[in-house]
Amino acid sequence: MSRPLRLSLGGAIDRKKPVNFQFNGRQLCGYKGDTLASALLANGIHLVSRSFKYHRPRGIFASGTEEPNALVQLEVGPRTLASHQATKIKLYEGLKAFSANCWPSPAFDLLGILGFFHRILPAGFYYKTFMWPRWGWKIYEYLIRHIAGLGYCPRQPDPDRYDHMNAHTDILIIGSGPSGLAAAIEASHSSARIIIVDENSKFGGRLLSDNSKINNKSGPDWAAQQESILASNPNVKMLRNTTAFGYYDHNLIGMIENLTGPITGVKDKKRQRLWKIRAKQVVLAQGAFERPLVFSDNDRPGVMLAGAIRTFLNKYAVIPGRRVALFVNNDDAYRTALDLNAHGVEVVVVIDLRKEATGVLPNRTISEGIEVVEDAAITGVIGKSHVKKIEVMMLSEDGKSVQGEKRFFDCDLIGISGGWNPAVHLHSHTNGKTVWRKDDGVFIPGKTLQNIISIGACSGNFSLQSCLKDGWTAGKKVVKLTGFSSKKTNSPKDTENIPEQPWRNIWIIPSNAPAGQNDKHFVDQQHDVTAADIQLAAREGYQSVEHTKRYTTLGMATDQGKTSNIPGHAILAEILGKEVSAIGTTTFRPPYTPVTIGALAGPYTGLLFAPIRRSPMHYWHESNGAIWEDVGEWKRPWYYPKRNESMRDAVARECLATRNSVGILDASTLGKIDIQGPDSAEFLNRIYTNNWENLEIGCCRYGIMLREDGMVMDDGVTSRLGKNHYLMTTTTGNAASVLAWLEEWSQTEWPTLKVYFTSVTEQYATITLSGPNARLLLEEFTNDIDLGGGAFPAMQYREGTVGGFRARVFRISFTGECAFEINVQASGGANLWANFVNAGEKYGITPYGTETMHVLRAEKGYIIVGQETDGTVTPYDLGMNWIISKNKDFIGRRSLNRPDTARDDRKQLVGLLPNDKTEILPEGGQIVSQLQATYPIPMIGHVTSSYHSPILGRSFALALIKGGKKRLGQTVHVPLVERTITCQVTSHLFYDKEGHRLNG
Amino acid sequence: MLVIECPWCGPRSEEEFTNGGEAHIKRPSKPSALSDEEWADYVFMRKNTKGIFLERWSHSSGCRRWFNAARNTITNEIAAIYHINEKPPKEIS
Amino acid sequence: MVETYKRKTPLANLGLEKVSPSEQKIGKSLLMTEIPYIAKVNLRGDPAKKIFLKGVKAALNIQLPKIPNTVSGKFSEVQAIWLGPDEWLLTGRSGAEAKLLKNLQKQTENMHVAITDITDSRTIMQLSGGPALSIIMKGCTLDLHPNVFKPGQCAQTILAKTNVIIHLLKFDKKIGPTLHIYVQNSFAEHLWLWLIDAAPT
Repeated sequence: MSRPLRLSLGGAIDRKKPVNFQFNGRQLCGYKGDTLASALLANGIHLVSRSFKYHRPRGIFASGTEEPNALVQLEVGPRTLASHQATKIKLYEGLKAFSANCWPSPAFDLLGILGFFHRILPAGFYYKTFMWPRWGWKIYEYLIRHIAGLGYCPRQPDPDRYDHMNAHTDILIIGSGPSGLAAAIEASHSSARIIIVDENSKFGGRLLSDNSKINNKSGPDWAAQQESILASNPNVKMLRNTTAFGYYDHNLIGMIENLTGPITGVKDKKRQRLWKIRAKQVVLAQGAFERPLVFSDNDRPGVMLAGAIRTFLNKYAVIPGRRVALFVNNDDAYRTALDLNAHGVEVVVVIDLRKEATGVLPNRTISEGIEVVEDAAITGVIGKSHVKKIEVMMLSEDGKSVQGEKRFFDCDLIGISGGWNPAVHLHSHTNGKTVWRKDDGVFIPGKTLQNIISIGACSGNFSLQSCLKDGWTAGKKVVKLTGFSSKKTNSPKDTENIPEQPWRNIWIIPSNAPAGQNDKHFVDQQHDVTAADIQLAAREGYQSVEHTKRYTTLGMATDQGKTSNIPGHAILAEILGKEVSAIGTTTFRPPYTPVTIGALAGPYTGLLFAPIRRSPMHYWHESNGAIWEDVGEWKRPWYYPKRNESMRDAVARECLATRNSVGILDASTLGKIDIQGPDSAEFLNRIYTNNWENLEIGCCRYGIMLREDGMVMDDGVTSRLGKNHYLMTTTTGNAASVLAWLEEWSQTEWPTLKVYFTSVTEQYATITLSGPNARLLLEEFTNDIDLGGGAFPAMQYREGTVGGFRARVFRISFTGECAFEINVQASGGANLWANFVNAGEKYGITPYGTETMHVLRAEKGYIIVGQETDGTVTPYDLGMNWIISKNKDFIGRRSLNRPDTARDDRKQLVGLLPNDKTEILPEGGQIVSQLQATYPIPMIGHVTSSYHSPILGRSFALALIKGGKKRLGQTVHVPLVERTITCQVTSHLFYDKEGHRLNG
Repeated sequence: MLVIECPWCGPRSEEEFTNGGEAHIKRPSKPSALSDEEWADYVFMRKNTKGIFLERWSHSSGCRRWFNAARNTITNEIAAIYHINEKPPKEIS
Repeated sequence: MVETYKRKTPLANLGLEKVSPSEQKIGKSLLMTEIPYIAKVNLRGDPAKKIFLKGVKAALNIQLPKIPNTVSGKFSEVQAIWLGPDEWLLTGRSGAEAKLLKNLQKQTENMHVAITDITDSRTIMQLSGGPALSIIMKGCTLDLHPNVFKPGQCAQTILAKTNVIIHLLKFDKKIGPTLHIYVQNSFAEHLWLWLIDAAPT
């Protein structure tokens, strides 16, 4: 390397802090403050990746978020990130990056051959080609997947940690360029809360890239001064390295703050923070993206946006080329020529599309001895893997073709500028309209319902002076809108304030042949969409922008068409002979830039993934080997295997122990609702299907509640504790929704009923002792409750002392055995449980889990809401006619008489006994009445619960079958993939039909 | 994520609330007197308004009170919040 | 009242009691403590009825807060937290629940009220120190800025996907805020682990 590509002075890099990094295995060096792109350029590397479809060599095209080409795979192993823009990666020590889409290397890519076959890869190629034969897709897909794609995902879990943060602010300013800074400074004179964010690590935006002067200070100096003023103000929060990715309802803005790079070995440091900021007023100062020109072979490495060249030169002190040609349609791009010239970089020529370039900046350029060719265009680029030479011709009168002699200029960098596009993305997220400004052909923000003020370049005011003025005015305005008062100040001023001449928009730059014939005019470089593709789509009848976008994939790559959308739309409009405004724009949707899944998940991973609810006895279960079942958010013991016991053996042991001696169950998770008030019974009457007026104090009753459509919603036992005092239990999963249901009816329909509800689910630990020895065991623990069957029959409740705790004891059984549900204060649950287990040792007391509970209740034909019911099942379907009162109204009653609900061929609950006692039907298995050779076989129902019953010594199941009540004794079949299980339809009561055990 | 102004607790994030669907649907006082069609209309039929929609919300993770809101279903603007037993403000209805 | 050795707080498994009375110091400036067993009574009644307010005043010696999301009384004695237009959470010293219940029942006899012991249904986490509010902002959408959320205010909200009551007791210029989080027992361990994860180290 002859001369260094890094300037010895200037820029926002720290030359004292070299940073080592690797690119495609090459050891390289940059400086602190570099991006990967600037460091690569400083090392003379332009060629970064291959394109998505044609695998053409691609270089660094832009300097920021809009970069379509320079995509890399960052890092390896679990931290690897796909499709990251080299222009957005802050350089850090040890960084490892690899080119995307290249094999074996970007310079020599085997798939580059695809470019030679570009005729077979037109727009809509996939849709047209792979439609037949139909079986062929599997093969096509395999090949396409290997060729396409923009990198790969990590295979291991992400070892990094991410943070979340919510914030509220009066004023949120997005963007810290000249307009954002001016707005923040002005607003900061009030006492409003302000948050200002920028995606870069330094505030200043475009001021750091351009050679401008504000209030006689250089751009970077002025920005630094404002930044320090803001930093000293406690009302102002500054977020750097933070990208606002989405604008949501009611002024909620989602942002990602990058806290560290993906560096290994930084312990406990969180990598990114997801911000959710609720603002009263939002100032959008996102700036603008420079617009590329669509000319022949405009994708060659070495073609770069003119503004990006200034960024690399002024902000990173990098010379991106030695001999530079510029191809422009506006005055602003001449700043690039002037800046390059000032640093001694040769500017070979400026090709200007305009008939005349007579503005201040072009004149200054000419006066510095740089050749300016007016009314001309680049018609070809020579150099496949890097620009070597350009071909230039004069434009015809209408600018649609070229004429005259070809001229050639040697160069290694082409700076292009087709004007600027306001970044209206966040505005657009709010459903905000955009307005086409015909003069210069840009979309500017229009109406929005959110509290937004768009200012500066993102509102279409491109000059520095107007940005500053906009910011200052917006600052004043948002202070007023948020109800604060501001001070009298003056707007900052662009010291030079050079006037500029209008742009000339030519959407497809003509070349010798029609676009697409010999060469390619790229519009969307990341998705390899060319002007010819859009022309083809238009010829094939595509009229709407939205359709064309999907057909050609224009603007659908990870850069979301930041540079390509407007030229693409303009080209379509031109072909259709319409105004751009008439064909509309596509809607930008969040996210503005890609967001990692890790940031969205934040701390909610692993143990914190979702709240885990633990019962008071949780750790007894855990230390006694419980296998957990997730029931809602609760962890409930599923079964307690001993040593190498299988689940089936463990459940069988638990079942038999409970049937033969005593089992102990943690039922704390059941919902418990305390109901008080003189109208409690009336309220229960309206909610439950059965009668509640005649329930005596000290008694319990089972109830079913329906939704208004007549379908079962929940069930449980409610006990009368006092004159106006009831305790309702609900299923574990419905505890919250049943309470909400009661409150809803109470508040909205029956506000005059005097009744209050209070959740006491968490107040009590509930321990169920079940089995023939339950009474004997419990007797050891209480002196003041007579547990005798005569004194304390089933479905009654007593209060007293159990094991030293005040207790409510209910004789409620879900197993069919004599059972006691003992409720004590939650903090005492663990103690009482352990004492029961110790004292019950002589009876072989056995803790059982939900699986055993399910088997035992199914043997008794008891339903489980959510298992036997699915929102389409009435109590009649369940054979529970006895629970439906005929002489009162209740929620859902009228629906039971609807023709559909009263049909007698509805699915009804029955029992199933497989002919083979060892076969266990799969739950959800479909039932047919007859096997036949032709499909489909009519399905008559499904299996809802299915188990092996240790006490019956056989398998059994519950099922819902059409007209099931009439099918008792019939044979039905459950066809499975490999075999068919034949069963007999029976009653759904399998064990102790007379209920002697329960009442004993 | 909307900001909903609970009539008791003030502005809170939507995540604290539960939507209860269309407001002002009164449960018939004598369901048995209704035809199947009339009953089905009460149970199943709801408006699907484009524009201002009167709906019920419950501040389920807060004070657990039900209230009514007039929300524009196109823009999500909330034009009014009023108590559960109140009629919509005149300018809305 | 049951002897303490027979009781277990929902955070017992974390072994906090071994670290000076249930305290955990996180990082430099945050102190997290569990305050278990505080007496808690859920009260429902109609505040439009003067006789109800009078009865409660006679039973507790404090006025019920009528302004939503405020707290009356003293945590060290008796305190009433607004939960809804007809609902309050009363707190008292550990073990005082029986007396609270008795007094309330006596003073509201024959009124339509609901007085429910919920002492064991929630535990209290006390956070004090500079970062306390910003930690909560990581998992809560409330605006906790000192201009908005002031000492004496409370809110029922969602923190780390868990329903909680947050009560700001004081805001000391040097120490920073001191606040109580009331969380249902079953969620307590989840919330405690989340807070530790969220706290700056």
